[in-house]
Amino acid sequence: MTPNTVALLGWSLPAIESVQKSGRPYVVVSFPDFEAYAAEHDIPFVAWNYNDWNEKSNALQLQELLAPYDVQFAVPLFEETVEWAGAVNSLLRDDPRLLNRGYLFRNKAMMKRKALLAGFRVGLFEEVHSRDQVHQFMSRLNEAELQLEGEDDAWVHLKPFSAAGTVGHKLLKSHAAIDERTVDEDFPCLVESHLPGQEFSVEAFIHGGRVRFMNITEYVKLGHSNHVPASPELEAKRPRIREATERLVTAFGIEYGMIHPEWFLTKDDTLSFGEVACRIPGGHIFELIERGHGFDPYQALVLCSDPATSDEELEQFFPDPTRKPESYAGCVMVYPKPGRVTGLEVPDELKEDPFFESHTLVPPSEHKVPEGREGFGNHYGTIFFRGSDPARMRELLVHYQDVDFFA
Amino acid sequence: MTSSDTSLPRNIVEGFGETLDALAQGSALTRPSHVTRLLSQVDVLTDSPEGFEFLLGHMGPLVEAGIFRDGPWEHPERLVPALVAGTLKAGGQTTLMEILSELRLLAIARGEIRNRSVTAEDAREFLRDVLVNSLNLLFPGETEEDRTLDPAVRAKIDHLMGLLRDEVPLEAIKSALATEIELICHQRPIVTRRALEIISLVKREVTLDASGEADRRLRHFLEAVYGPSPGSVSRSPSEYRAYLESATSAQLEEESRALAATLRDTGLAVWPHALLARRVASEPELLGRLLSLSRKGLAELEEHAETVAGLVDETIHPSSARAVYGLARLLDRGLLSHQPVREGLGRIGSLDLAPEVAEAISSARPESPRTPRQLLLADCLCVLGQPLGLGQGRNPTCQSARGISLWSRHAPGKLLEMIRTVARTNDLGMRFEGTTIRSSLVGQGLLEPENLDDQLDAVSLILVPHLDRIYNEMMRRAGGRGEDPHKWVNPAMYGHWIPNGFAAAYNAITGTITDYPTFLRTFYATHHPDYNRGHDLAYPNPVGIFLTSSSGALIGFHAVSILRVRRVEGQVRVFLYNPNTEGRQRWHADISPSVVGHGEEPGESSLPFHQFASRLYAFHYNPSDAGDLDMVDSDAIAPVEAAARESWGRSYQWLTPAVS
Repeated sequence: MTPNTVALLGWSLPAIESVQKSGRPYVVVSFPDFEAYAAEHDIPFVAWNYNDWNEKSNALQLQELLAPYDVQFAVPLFEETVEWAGAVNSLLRDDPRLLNRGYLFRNKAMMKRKALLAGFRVGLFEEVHSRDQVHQFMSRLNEAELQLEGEDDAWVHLKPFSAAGTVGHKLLKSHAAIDERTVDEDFPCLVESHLPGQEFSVEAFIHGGRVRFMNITEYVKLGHSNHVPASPELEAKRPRIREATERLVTAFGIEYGMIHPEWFLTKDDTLSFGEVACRIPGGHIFELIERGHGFDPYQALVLCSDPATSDEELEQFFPDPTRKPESYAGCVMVYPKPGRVTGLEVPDELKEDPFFESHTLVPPSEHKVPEGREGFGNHYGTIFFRGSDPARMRELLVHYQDVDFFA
Repeated sequence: MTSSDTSLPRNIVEGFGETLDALAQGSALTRPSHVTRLLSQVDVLTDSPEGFEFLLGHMGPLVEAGIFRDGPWEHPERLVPALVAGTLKAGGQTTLMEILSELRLLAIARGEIRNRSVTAEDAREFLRDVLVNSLNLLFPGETEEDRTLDPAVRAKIDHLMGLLRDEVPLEAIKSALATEIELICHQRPIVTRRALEIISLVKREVTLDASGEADRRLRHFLEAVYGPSPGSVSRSPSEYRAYLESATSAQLEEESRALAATLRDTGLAVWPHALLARRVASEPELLGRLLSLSRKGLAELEEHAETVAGLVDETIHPSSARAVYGLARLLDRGLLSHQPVREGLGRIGSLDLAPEVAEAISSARPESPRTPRQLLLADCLCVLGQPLGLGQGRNPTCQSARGISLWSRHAPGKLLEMIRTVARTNDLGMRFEGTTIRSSLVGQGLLEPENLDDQLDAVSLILVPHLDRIYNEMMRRAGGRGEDPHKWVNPAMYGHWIPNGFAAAYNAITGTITDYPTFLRTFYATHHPDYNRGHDLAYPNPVGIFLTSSSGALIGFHAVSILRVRRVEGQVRVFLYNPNTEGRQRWHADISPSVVGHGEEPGESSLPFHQFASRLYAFHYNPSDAGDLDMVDSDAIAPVEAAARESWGRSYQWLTPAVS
């Protein structure tokens, strides 16, 4: 029996290749820029501009364009396609709430309110429309912290409502920083108090409302370095993290696909909710999952997004969760220091390290600007490590995030 | 796998294997990202000879997995040995891919892998040519280039050269080296550096046998440079100078004869030539013998003996020895009897150079103790004596070099006047359609000043930056007129020698080929002896040609001059001046001009007429010569058009049906 046809919303070459390998029929929906490449490589393609939403460009039109492909479900790959996937799936499954869930993921204030209602610990947050409101928010935080004359201001995170990951995220550590670092274009947006604790993400593959596989990605430095699986210390908290993730799935009403929440865990085991996305995570997390757990996470995402997938298929697909990891896969994303991007220097120390696996650093002159549809920032390349000792892995990631590779 | 694998880091060997598998299993979609990661592992492997052996042992799977697919190295049969050295030095992924490309050929040569288009013998020949063209890498010396090369890249290249050297013994490249030197020398370039460098490498690195044809040919050049005469062979320059001071007239006679012989044979003037020329500067009979002058040159020397003695004193020195050959050819051309030349040289000899000009000349010739003015004057002799020995170096300034060559031949007085102006003011003005364009007032040309290759004669070194800017400005002003701007720029730039008729293969506005048959017929009617009643060209014709890669893709445009058209052994050939430093430059897969063997004068290159015509995109002609275009056989031009359509023509839209 031919599997259901999937619509991949967003342009991702590894995702396309994985679906091709799985033999499932598919169609890619993305910006018209990619049409020529798709035609050249025989990729079924529907050109769609996700930024246009009006009476002539909406989910009903998209549904019509998808009709010839007999699409049964849509999978969002990038942040900007999440509500489109919600809309298309709503139509395909005749369930209007799916679209609303899409919006839930796209509005960080709405998302946090929902989490708060579901009983999660979240930071104090507000939707603000001006710089003055940020000042007021910080003052109220200071007040709550019983700030004395001369003490530091409370830290405030400023985030766009609907950007992926760390895009547009600003950490404001003082009133002065509010004036220096915010621009009019930031508003309206979300501000929230700083959450203490170790940050990590979870990639939970969900089918029929149940978590079928849960990966924990340990962030060594947000946006710079992480590794899979997490260290034994963090993995020891897995039951607690799994319980919270399952509660989140229930509260958000997620039935199919994958979610990618970010959590904070303090030493006293307090777990706080940061935010949640339902798209491919950034930071090479899928590549690390593939190396760390030995399955193709793109295929897992598509499999879990298809309501028709059977429990047997899922059990066969995912590895045994009790299996001990053979090795840890980690990566450092390299950002050139400003004004110093003339040539690439990969130190011998790195090339000779037994944990070094490969890198994608290229000299700036050869550097190709990454496709703008990716959810993560514009780093200049990534170094991949693999090894059996998680402590050494952490050491390496900490060390290499500060090495300047661009002399 | 070989046993040496054990010395390689396990993580790299395993990681390489995994990335290789991923590449093999991935499609074109993810190939670039797999290749990038694989190359980071190749980077580690190429740091050691063991890693090289490991890679060599994996060339089969690497090729299968598609490491070269869809890239410039995909087809080994289309690679060019002369480009390998430059690519190896580029650094980064380019160096790594080039190394892998050589390893693939090495594996083919050893019969370890097979290729549909390249046999083991082809591969060996390719690698031999790589070595001949990469002598500086094969024998790392103290050249400037080596000093700036990243030591890590240097080490990788050394490992590769070590492997290639084992595969292609130096003995096997002797004959190729000899041919290389002979063909360079045959063209009589002004700047003889490359020939001298190869000869010096041969002296240092190659053991020559007593017998053997290639050994004999190489020894000929070694002697010409390192022992051209009985007196100089075992003496240092200062000892030789002292020897010449006290030499008898018979000894001076013998030295002159010996040095004349090597000068005549090779065109290479080295320090003994310079020292002897200075010694006999005021003895016209000996000087004439040393310079190996023609009868015309001897008469010229006799008439202007005093001027010549002055020029020798001012210009000839061991560090500017090449001017000995330039002076000889200048005298043979009889140019000193041309008053503007005599006057022009005199004026340059007493000039105060602009500081920027003096600095440019000194920094290009740091080894010479001569003043910038003396070096400039010395190279004036060369430029006037060897108009076809001018080269553009590694600069994109074919137009400017072509101009200097043309003026040297047909307007030497004008050329000297331009040199004098630039040398004194570091500025140049040329008239264009009623206004004067000053180089100091217009924007940059094709040449980025900081990227100027200064291995040029001093005349080109100071003139080209100005000519380039002026030419560019003329092109800008003549742009947008609906026709190729060269139509107006060439006559303005080069002078009234350029006829006013102009034909271009393509329509400058639409970028289409509108009437190629008429274009070709016009060229045949005005240039081919079968149609133009056998008339020769009066002046060089500056023409534009298409350069295409060996696969036929358009690489770019190039400027050459047609000098003459002759029937040689039943075949009509175009003889031309190519300002590219190397007349053997390949224009297309099977179109490489020859520099010897078809009656080429030194510095000329030649191609069969139809091959030349198939590369042409623009030329000048005298409209009154064109006559009846229908006289030109369709049979003659049909194959030319077919060749054009199959190569550069693929980059254009053709609006005319093919000639049937």
